[in-house]
Amino acid sequence: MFDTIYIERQISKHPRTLEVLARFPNATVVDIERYGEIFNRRAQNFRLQKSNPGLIIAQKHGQRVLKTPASYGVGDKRNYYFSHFLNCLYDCRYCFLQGMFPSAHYVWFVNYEDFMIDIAKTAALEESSAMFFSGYDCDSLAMDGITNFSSIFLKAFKSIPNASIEFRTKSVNIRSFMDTEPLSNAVIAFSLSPESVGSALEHKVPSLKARITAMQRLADKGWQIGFRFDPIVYSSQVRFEYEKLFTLLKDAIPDENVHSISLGPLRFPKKMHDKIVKLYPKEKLFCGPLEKRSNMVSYPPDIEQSMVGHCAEAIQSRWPASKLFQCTPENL
Amino acid sequence: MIHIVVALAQEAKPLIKHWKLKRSAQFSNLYFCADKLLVISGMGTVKSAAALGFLVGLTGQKDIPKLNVGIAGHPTRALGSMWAVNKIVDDQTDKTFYPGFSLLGNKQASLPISTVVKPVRVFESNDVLVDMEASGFFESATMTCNVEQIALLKVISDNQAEPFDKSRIPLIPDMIGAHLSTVDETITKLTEPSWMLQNAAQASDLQGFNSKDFSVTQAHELRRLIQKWNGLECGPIPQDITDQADPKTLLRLFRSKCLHESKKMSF
Repeated sequence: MFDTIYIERQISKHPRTLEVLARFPNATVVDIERYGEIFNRRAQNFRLQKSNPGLIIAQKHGQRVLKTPASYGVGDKRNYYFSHFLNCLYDCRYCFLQGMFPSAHYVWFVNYEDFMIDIAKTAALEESSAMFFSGYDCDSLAMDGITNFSSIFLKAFKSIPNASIEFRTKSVNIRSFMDTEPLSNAVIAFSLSPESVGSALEHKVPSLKARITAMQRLADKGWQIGFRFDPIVYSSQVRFEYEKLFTLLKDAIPDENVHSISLGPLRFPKKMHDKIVKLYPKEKLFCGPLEKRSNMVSYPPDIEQSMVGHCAEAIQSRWPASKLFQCTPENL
Repeated sequence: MIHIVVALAQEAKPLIKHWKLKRSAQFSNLYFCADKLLVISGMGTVKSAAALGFLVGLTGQKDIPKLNVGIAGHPTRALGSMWAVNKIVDDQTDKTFYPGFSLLGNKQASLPISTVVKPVRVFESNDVLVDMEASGFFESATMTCNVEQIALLKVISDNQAEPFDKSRIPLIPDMIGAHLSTVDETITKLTEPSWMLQNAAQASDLQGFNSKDFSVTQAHELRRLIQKWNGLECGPIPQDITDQADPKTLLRLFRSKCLHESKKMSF
């Protein structure tokens, strides 16, 4: 899986580092001082690296837990995110990660214990409930087989009473959840798109059918599931396609297991959009009816409002309105 | 196309023979064939960097893969073995560089290298190659090429047991010559994706448009609209657009047609 593994010298003997090295004995191992030497260097080519990314094992310094933008949340008063991993195994054309980082290499921060301390401290700041989102700069579960992220953090969240964790994913790698008794403060949130959009734009991602099966197994076990329709991608069949998807989910997952549903329009900061278009100029997604508004690129207001409005209406006709959350950036 | 820099004529000899390179009539250190440019730089980082700059100047193009082939020392590894370079530390400046391995993978074994100013007889580090060009070559190469398409291949010519002296120079061609298939494989890996990058960067040409008066910004927008139109797969660009003489009107018309067609798109 990894031809090259870069390791920060300070954590070369960390148990998680040693475990991964034992699993990939044929990888070329290169010592580095800080992950930025590889990840942030100049003259990188994202598209070439994406064909065979290396793994950078690092230690996260500085601020490990950050506040989410104000509009981002699924019902908790306080919302934060943290990233134990940067970049994604999958290759979705609408994903901002393609333009977010200068490198396609994976960065894995192995100092989980430092994250946990910071999360516990942040949760203790106030009595109100706090949600910690884990899949902002990566897919929370796609690399779980290597990182053991979910099992370790589930254990940690058991003992933080007013904190919840969201695992945002397109993966069907749910073994650790099947081996654990469900926690009331954990949500496994699946990113979903209609099948036609998925097969055109979500490369290397498990099929919609496989994801629904994984959700069913989790629900049967008693876990809370989130549906994330973010971004909503335009096509001339958008209403029909999303209605079909909502019906599939309504039939597959019992209402009591649906924690929350969120909707978000497609949006890119202008610079990020231009960078991704340079990588994939012929990609159909970017030939769609997108326009520049302030510093963002998105669908024109009439299209966006109609799509989001219709999806919201269709969701509310199937699930209680209290479960629906709309994540729209404020500056649009 | 690939740019190849070697420090010594002895290192170049087997490569010139293998690829049947011709010597430039104008520049005596330059050898070429249809898809390779090779220069003999002389020893040292400055000469290596300058020689690569010379090749870039000759070609006048960005993103041409770059390869450095040469000899290196190592305290213990076997004489004659070939190594790719995965990390370069410049002994003078302490600067560190990392060639990319997304294209090369891990089939060819690799080691870090230390670039020094003078040949060494006593090796300090345990498992590090030593040469006199790598850092200069690499730093210069990254000015016009991405790190994934730059590689360095080093053959061990001397070690602690058998230090380098002049009597070993005649052995160099055979040392390099023993690894020609690895050099060829590396070149294939480095050059293969060039079509993809060119394809991505290729700007649609503006031939077929009546107007010749586009500003740089207008030409840029027109190219993007052509890309969009082609991406939407809606056939040839309508004649009322291509025939339009006024750039502003043309762009307005084209924008509106693209938007109209894009609303019909499906996946």
